Amino acid sequence: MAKPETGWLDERLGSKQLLGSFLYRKVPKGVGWWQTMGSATLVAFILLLFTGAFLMFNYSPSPDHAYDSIQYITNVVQFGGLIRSIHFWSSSAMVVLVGLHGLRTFFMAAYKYPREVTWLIGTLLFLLVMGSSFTGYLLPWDQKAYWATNVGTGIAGQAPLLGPWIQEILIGGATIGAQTLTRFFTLHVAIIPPLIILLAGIHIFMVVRQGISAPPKK
Amino acid sequence: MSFYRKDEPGEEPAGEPVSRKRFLAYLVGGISGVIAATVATPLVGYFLSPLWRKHPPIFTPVARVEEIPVGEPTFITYEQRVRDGWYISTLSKGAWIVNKNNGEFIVYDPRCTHLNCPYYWDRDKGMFQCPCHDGKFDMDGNVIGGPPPRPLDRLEFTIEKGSILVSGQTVGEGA
Ligand code: FES
Repeated sequence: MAKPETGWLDERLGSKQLLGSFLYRKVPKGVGWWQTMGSATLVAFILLLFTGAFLMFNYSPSPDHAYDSIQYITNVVQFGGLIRSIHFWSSSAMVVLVGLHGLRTFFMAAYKYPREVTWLIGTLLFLLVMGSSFTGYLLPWDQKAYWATNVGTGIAGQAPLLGPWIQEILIGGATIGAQTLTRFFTLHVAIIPPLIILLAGIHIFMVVRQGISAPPKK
Repeated sequence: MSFYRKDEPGEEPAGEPVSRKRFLAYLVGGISGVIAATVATPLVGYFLSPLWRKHPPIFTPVARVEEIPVGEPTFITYEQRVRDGWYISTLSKGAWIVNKNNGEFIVYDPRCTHLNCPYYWDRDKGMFQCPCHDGKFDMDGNVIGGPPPRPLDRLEFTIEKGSILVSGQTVGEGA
């Protein structure tokens, strides 16, 4: 098999080399399941991107229609309930996985030289995941969503000095309402995901470039 | 495609049909493909579902049967509920109801088939009269004068327990 079928594309894109350097990396001895948490987080994120984009086809971020549109997705649109469930469970999974990923990196001291920048970007990514969860939680616009956001923004309001301002910026007004919903919606679908894609891209590039750190000897 | 790959790095016992590395690559690729297809199928179905979605009409009760006198077309107004996805709106609508031979009902769209003017029932002449361009229709909706190009449009309706219910859909024209 001197010439594989991918020859034509490969000649033009160099895809084989590109994919090869991404997939066929040398990994240190002792690497196991703990080192898969980052990839697992990525898978959850990709699921969230696709299911989230499709949910947007039928979601209406206004207090009048948010709840009804989600009921419509769940009960009327074909596969709507399934897609919403995948979005829901992937988001929970992503928080757990990103937590495990961060703890693994911390306890195996994988954040040390020369990977400090990767670690810092990872910290930002963790915050973005938290922000995505928080903003996404409001969107169903049911009692649970409303009160969770009430409590969440209330906690932000307790911060010293800047607290009340932070709370008002989050809410977009004096009380939680139409402006909070559009704000959270925009953050959830248009601001946070592109930031995650950008930072995760750099993060993963660094991992591929520097390789996985060797697990510490006991 | 040969099963005997010689260009793989690493030792490869001669005669083994598929190398371990190849096998694992196929396995991982196959599982990834199955997962991707599992996710993609509902997504595509969700996107295409308007194609086969049913649009059940909402029937609105507009009148009682006994309210419509025989041979005397009666104009009624009603609030039509319109379902648009998760959005239900109401439209103020009207209709002419004809009770032909005690029990044989026809419901007409109240707009003239010429240029949508509202027409009225001329009791003396016994016909529908359009004020805009002098269009005339008989009780069966047929054009008997003026410019209208086709008979009056009829609305879909059912009768349930003595109530006339209208869906707002046009079902046909003429008698
Ligand atoms: S609109 Fe009725 S005759 Fe022209």
